[in-house]
Amino acid sequence: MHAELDELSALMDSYASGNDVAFEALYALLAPRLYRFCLRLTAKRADADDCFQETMLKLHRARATYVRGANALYWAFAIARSTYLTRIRYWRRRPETIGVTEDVAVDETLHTCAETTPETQAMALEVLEAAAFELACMSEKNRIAYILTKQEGVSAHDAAAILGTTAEVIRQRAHRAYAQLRAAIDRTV
Amino acid sequence: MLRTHLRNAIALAIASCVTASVVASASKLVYGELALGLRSALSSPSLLALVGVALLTLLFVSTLAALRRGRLGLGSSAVVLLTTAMASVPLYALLALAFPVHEDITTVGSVAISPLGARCFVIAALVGAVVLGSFAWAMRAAVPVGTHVRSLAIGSAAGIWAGLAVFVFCPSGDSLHVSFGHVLPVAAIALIGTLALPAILRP
Repeated sequence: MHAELDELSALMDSYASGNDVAFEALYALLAPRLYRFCLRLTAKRADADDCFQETMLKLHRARATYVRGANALYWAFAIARSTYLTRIRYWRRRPETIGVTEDVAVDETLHTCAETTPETQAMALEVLEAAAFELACMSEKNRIAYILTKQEGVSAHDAAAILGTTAEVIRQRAHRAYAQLRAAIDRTV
Repeated sequence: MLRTHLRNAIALAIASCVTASVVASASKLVYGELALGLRSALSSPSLLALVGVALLTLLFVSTLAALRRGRLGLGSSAVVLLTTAMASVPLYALLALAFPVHEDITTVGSVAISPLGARCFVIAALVGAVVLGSFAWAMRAAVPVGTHVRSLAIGSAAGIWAGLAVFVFCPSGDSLHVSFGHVLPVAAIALIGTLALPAILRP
């Protein structure tokens, strides 16, 4: 994991120096985690696609501002979050009602073990739906703190740098999100 | 496309050169001699040294907080940015008003000093605008975190550069003159930075 992050940072540095050939390898390493982050951030696949695409474009445009040796993944996360906030501001100014879209909870890749019974599969799906719904409903600040610290494995200190706040605030927000999720799952089960 | 550290170096060079050249040419043009503000304060050298060092420290700290990129390349932390940004302008106002190093004079030779500091306001606004512009260019799209706080920090740092310029240029210690001609433009530049920069800084 550490070696992968180091390789990613080295590739980003090479790309920032003007070596366009490095992009392919950079994309291969960065895209899966960045897309997953966008998916968790937006909770809808269509929004995640847009957010990811816009983030990659911004990352390309701002590549010269990348600091040598800095964590490229965290930098990309920060750009993705900034992009997401811009999108939220845009949609708040121009609200529109759209139809129900498929979200993370009903994604066909979320399978349970083949040996489980239909009842447990249905229950697992219900729990997933409840968790995804609760994540989508909670405040953006709590959600992003939870995603970074609990799902992406970023330390509270680094998450604070990515979100522009303090580590203590991140811990509090992540804890609030965690408690909210637990309560939602308890209600479902 | 230039890397950020190079852009920072260029921005700092622009800030230093513009501040020095504006102060020098304005001093020569208005009073006929260089850095009259510093010379007139030499009657109390210990106070001048104290205020001068405090101003330079304020300038260094505010500029560093605004422009540094940090370990993760995400700039100074929110706490550092907010602290320096919120403290810079009030500290400058305190230094300028509570520790006046210049004498309370209304004329220098045959040149009258504006009671409201019109010349100082123009010089501070000019220096502040150029420094704000160069810092904004240096940090454009560089840090995707805390753009509003960073804008305030950059605005405050540019304001302190402008404050230093009028400190060196102006020989007047009149409180009304200092309030309107020195402190007001510094606060105005910080405010302009806060309002105008977020869209520029965001990648």
